[in-house]
Amino acid sequence: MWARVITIALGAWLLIAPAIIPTTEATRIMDRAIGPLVIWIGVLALRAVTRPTRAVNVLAGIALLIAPWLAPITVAQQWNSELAGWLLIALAIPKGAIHQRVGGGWMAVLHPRTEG
Amino acid sequence: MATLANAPDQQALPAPMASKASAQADIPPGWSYNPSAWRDRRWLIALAVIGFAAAAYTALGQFGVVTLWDPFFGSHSSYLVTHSAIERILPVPDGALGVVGYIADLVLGASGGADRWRRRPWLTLLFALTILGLGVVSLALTILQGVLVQQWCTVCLVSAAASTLIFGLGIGEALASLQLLARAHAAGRSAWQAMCGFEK
Repeated sequence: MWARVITIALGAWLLIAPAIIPTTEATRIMDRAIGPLVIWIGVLALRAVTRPTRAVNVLAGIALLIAPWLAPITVAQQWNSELAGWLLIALAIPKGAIHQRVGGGWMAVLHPRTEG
Repeated sequence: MATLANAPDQQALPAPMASKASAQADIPPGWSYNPSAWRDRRWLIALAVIGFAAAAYTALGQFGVVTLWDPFFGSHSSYLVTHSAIERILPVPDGALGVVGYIADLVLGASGGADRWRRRPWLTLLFALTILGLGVVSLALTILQGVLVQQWCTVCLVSAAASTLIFGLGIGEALASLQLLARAHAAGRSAWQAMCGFEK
């Protein structure tokens, strides 16, 4: 759960970061686009049913990591991007504690367990 | 939609035992809870009402009937968001579309009993499509708020939060139904029949 809570806080930080640290137009757009997405996924991934959606946050983290090579960026935003990217990926990879069983989850739709 | 009549295969148990037994049977195999239970759906319906109120208020603002109250970003900021070019892309202001979406959420979310993942899979799948659509559109509009309009609107964010939570709460039923269809298909039975509710 804490991984998800920190993820949500990270998404909120990304949203407000362009107003606080020196930012170029490109990184402002990126932060303001990725921030809500990270929050959205973070909230969804709180529950066992939608835990697999955290894969999207791994992609978001990768996008943040490669951003400094793709767009003009300030030093402050470069640090921000890199740190946020790594943190997002680190938080999204572990599955976390499962407090509810969901019958095998979405993989069980592809590989169902049949009754005898 | 025709359903099988309640099968007379339950013994005549005393009422509390019978209802507890059927509540147990309503939990999908391998699950620790029933995603269609009213315990979760109550929240879902409450959130849909909140979302409906937010969307209706936004629509009134977009039609010029009211000035949106915004305690965090100011009414002017809300005005800019709700009257931006994005809102004019569609033939109808998105607040009105939100109203339709939340009404659909309410109707589809409240229909059917606590065993609807099993008896009316088509309903849970339809519901899942609706909440997915509303959730994704809400996210897209939130992103556009920050990226394009560069202003924020509190009521719009409330609606986005509501649709996100509705999505998270409601999608579990669809998973249980899809698992049911997959089990039927793997066992050689018709998944279509299962979707229409003929699977036990």
